[in-house]
Amino acid sequence: MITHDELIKLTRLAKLSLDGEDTDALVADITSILEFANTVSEAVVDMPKEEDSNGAYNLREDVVEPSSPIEDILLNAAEKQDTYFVARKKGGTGA
Amino acid sequence: MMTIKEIRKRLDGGEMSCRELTTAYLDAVKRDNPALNAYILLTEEEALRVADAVDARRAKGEMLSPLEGVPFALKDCVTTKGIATTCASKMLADYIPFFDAFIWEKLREQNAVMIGKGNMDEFAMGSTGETSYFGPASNPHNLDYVPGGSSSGVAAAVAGGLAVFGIGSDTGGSVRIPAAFCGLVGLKPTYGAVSRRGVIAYGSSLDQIGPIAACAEDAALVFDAINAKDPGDMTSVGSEPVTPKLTGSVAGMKIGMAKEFFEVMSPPVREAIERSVKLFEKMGAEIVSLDFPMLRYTLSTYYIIACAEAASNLGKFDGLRYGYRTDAAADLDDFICRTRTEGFGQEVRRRILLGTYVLSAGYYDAYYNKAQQLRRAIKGEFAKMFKECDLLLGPTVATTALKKGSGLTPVEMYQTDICTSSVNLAGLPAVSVPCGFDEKGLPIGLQLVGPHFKEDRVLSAALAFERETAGEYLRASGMGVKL
Amino acid sequence: MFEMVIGLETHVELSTKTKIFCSCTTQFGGEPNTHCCPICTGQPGTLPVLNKKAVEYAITAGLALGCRINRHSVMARKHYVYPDLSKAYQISQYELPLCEGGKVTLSNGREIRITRIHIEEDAGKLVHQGNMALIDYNRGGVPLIEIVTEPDFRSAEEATEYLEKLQTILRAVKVSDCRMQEGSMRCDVNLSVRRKGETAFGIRSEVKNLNSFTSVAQAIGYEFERHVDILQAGGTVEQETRHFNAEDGTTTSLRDKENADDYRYFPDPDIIEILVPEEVLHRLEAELPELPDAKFDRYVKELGIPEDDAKMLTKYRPVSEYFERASEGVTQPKTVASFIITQMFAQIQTEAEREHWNPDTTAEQLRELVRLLESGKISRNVAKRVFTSMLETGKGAHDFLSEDDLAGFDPSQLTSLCQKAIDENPKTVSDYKNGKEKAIKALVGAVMRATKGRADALAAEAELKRLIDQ
Repeated sequence: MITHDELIKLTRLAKLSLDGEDTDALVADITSILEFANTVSEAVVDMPKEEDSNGAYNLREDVVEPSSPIEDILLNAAEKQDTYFVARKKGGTGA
Repeated sequence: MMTIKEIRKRLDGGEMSCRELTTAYLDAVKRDNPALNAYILLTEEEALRVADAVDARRAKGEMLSPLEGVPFALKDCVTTKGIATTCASKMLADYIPFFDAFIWEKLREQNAVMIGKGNMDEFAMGSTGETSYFGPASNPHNLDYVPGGSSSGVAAAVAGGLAVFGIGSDTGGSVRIPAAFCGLVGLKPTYGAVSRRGVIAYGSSLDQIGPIAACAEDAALVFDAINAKDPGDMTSVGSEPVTPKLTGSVAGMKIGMAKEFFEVMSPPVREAIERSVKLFEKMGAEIVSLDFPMLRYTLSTYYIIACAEAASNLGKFDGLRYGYRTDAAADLDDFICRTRTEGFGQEVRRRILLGTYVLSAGYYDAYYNKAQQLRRAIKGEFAKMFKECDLLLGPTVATTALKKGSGLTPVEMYQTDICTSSVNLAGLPAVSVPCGFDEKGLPIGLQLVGPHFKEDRVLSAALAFERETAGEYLRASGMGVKL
Repeated sequence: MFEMVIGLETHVELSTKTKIFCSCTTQFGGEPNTHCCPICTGQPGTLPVLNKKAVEYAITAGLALGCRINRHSVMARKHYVYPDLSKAYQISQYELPLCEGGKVTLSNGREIRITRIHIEEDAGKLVHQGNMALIDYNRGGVPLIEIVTEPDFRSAEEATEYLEKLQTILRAVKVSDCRMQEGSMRCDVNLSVRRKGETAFGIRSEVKNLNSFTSVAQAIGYEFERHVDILQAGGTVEQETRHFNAEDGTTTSLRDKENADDYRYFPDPDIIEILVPEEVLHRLEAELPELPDAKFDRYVKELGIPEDDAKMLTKYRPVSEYFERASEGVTQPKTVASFIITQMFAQIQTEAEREHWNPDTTAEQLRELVRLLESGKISRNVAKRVFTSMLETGKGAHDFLSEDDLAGFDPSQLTSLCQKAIDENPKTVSDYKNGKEKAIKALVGAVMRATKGRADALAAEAELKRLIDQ
């Protein structure tokens, strides 16, 4: 139900890598899961969207609260410069 | 295995100090956790600090809150400021949150004593606890078996006497399944009753935090401690306290049973459920037979919605702001893809792929949209059933605990959630209560489902059942703390 | 023989104090990542909490642009991966946006239909430094509205006029400062080309992120020629997204249809559906100020202000507010308008200064001057001279009025002074009577000289004509 090409496309969309993956096994895996998921196609339902949905207007007031200390914001970032997070355009490495 | 009432008696009666109690639990964890792997992290310093604060309050004769000084385990998907929160993933193995989850704030207000962070399936994706990056937890009733997932660690901790209660999360059964496999009471509250703020999301429209405890009254006490409305979670509505409303009676109640569940139950589970039904009748309940034809679509509907939301929720893990990052990459895109592939385990990657697929152009209507329609239909069937009964009764899981490393295929594994996931789709409250053992001595769970915000009703029925069976099924594992 | 068909998507930052999903400030500046919290940096476990003001500003914008408001509205996740987006999805709206179906009327009478207005969050900023992209999330989570039009524009002029009007309207209802230079207003152009007379649309290209009227006009001009060249050469235009190069006014391809993003929109399960209560809608309708077009009509029709002046006054909300304050209790508001347009605008020339409109001379000071004029205590000439000094110093009129200026002129003397001028200049009077209209000016001059400029020249002219015609 899923081809190699579709798997490559799907993997790219999901921002995953196929490096080191057994793609045949993964194709089989995903195919069987999609077959399982596809049982929804057998169901005959015509449920309109609820008219009286459970919406609300419990919104936040526009009042400024202190932001987090910069040390906290950057606490878990492996790479930073000054108070920036850093993304490497070429050859990103674990810092 | 101790109940909160027993702990209360000892602390309030001055039999022992909170430090002594906490130390006893910490010692037991150090001794038994290598076998159970219930805890990913032991929070000893935090536990002793709180214990001393409790003792100071006791010394001054202050009124203690219901959970004050009670040792508990917190599932590691709940963020705790300054304390590692990993979701049992390599991706977050070193992650230190700088903010607290709402429930952690509530439990700290009560001075409950956190012993440690509970093991779990990675990002709560699993039904056995085996997808954890830190290895599977064991079932205290038989170490060769899984405790059930995804809240595997907190269930193993409570059943193994390493905590008095646990806080789990339940997206498709992750509180109730391990409660059933470990012979405990697990409550999945109504969606919105407990704030999700600070709970690392799996399926946001399904996730709900709930207690795993030794008995129904304990579950009620813990639920009452955490069920306030939180302005920080737009889906939070809170709930009334249930403890004062526990009647412990089912007399005059109509309890519905959907025929479809009988088709999936294994023989020992079926036997235990049928025996339990007779007990409910004996206690004065009327049993009503119902139809739940949508049951056959609930699993696929659940997995489509949960995985779509999960794929979306997990997109943020790109290694830039926090979390694991890859060692070498050609460019930024490659960096992100490798980081995610190396940082997530296989099951998580699988569900991200499924979730991405069902939302993608060309497949959205056939999968995601159809699943949403089915979800509304399933809600509709529950509403119909609750016109004819006050509670629904069935098994929590069709089988007892699986053996570790059983090598099930993903789709076989997903079947574990057949009885529980529909409840999440409808956002209903449900409790799993122990109702028997199989021939190997592994516990069996009975599930009671109520209408929205009728936690008091499901817990009252659970309490009635416990009393009727005189706690026969709340058998301790023999492990853990001995006071 | 070719015609361009253009639709615009305009992003406008809302002037809320806090971000759309957290309580961090939206203030400009600040060290990178210091206006941030767990929510806007996408920490695991965090949840968005929608800002009420953002919703209400968007509704106000919708009302001002004649949209119908969807009382039931849904937030959706739009997925794409870019380092300035902290969650790998942007919270936006897809089905059921807050506002649908409005319009803006251009000066040539054409109506531009507005398809929808939805709210969404802004992304952060990337600073490119060699091999590194430095990420700052301070702007991440600032609330935006996206205003989407139908493909109703047929020229660059129409597009820029629409944008100017949009700016004026959104500023008038105080939901955004709409500063293109600072990025608080930016625009995507969708353009296709077809032969005149055809009804089907051609294949369109989209030019992203234009941040000045000039860029919008340049991008439209460039794309039109590019499309026409392709079509005339018998080629087919690619459906693609393009980038505008401000340096040379050209556009270059960013990505084609094949590589178009698959945004995988779905309703955000963290954000409960918005149900706008009827009373909130009524309140926002009631609070809606007079809109620029209506204000313009009123200035022209009721206050007798020349169209060009009225246009300038209503273009800048603070200017019209200043004008209206200065006109309180004044008999002839057009006198106030004329002072503002001729003297103040001559000094306050840039768009930014006019938009801020913070002159040293207060509206109350201007009003006092006009009242002196209207009461006949000072003449128009004196008033002009005095106003020049007021604008230079920020002081009030009285600081510049000499005894002479204020000796006052009793209007009851006007008739006798005019009669005297008529009597002393019979030749001029007969010139006037013989159809030499301008001759009257000489008589006015005589009256003004006699009063040392204190008389009202217009009043004198009218009185002279009356007396001569008698």
